[in-house]
Amino acid sequence: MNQEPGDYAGFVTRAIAFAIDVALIDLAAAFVAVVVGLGISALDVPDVVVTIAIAIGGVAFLAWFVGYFATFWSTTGQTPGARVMGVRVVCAGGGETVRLGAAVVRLAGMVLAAIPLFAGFLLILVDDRRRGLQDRLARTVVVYASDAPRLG
Amino acid sequence: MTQPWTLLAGSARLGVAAGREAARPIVVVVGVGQRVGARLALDALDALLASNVAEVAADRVLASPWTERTLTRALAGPLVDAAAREVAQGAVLERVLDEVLATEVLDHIVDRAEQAGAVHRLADRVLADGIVERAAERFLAGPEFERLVVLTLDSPGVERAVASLFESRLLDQVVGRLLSGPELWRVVDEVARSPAVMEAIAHQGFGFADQVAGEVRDRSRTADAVVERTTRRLLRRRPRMDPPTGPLPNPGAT
Repeated sequence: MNQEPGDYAGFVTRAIAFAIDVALIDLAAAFVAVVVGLGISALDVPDVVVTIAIAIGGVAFLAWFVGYFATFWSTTGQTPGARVMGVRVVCAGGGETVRLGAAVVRLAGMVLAAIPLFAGFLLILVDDRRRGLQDRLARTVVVYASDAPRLG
Repeated sequence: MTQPWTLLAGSARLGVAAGREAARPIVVVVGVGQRVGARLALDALDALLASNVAEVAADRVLASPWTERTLTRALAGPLVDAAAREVAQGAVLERVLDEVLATEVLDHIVDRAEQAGAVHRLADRVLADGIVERAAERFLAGPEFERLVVLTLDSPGVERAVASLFESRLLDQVVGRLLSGPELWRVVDEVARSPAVMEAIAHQGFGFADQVAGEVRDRSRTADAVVERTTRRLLRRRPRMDPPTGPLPNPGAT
């Protein structure tokens, strides 16, 4: 059964989009970590500095993770992965782009949904509007984008 | 017994013979008179043409309105067409041209023109008036140039020339020199870095990525429905209803 544009996006499509986004985030973070790690290894720095650098890197990764999703959801409604898969996050009430606060709440909802063995995401399979826990918390829905993305 | 009509016929023949004999001297005299008269008339005509009177008379005739009217009437009439037809049918122009080319008249004309500086003056005039440019523009813009190019390209001579060029060692030498020199690779670099080529390569790459992404999208949407249907069947839940049309519903309603 093929879905029409405007219909709510399903579990598999959203999972692939999320996987693409996580891959991009991790690739960028890993590249930065390798560069910084090589730089530190070339210098004779104390262990405490290394520990502090690791802590800063963790915070930076968290900020990068949150900023990535929150920025894309609150501006275009599409992360790069969502654009590739042709889905968009919109407000459940009227279909407009979500606010920055709602985007952060949605991201927190994703973390919560992942804690019980990703059971929060499985709600997508049984909800009539294909909403996961994060969508219910942030009052959003994910729909198929009517404008087919073109990479070129 | 002699018939009367026989007598009449014999008398007529006798009369004709007698008349012919009697007229013989007269015929001789008339013939001599004609020859003498013709000679006298020709002598008189020569004398007339040699005199000033003939020249004056000719000038007057040529200057008179009658001559002009007559000439105009003649040119407006069928005489010119008939003359042109005769010239064309008789290949007069060809004969005249052949005669001119066979003799040294053309050479004399060219020599005289060159001695008089007419050639240089004509060349200066042609160059100064832009005649050459206009003629070249007209030639290049007209269909004659295309016909000439097509005829040239289709000619066996050009084919033979191209074939001999490819078979000759000159081409190998030219190619070898091009490949060994830096100019060709500079040109290749310039072409490869040109925006048109870069755009074409990028377009082709993006087109392939678009195709892959579109296929993944289609299959994932089918998988969405399959996974959801299976899950609902396992959980003994009713199948999902078709999505509502129009604006998205209020989340508080569900």
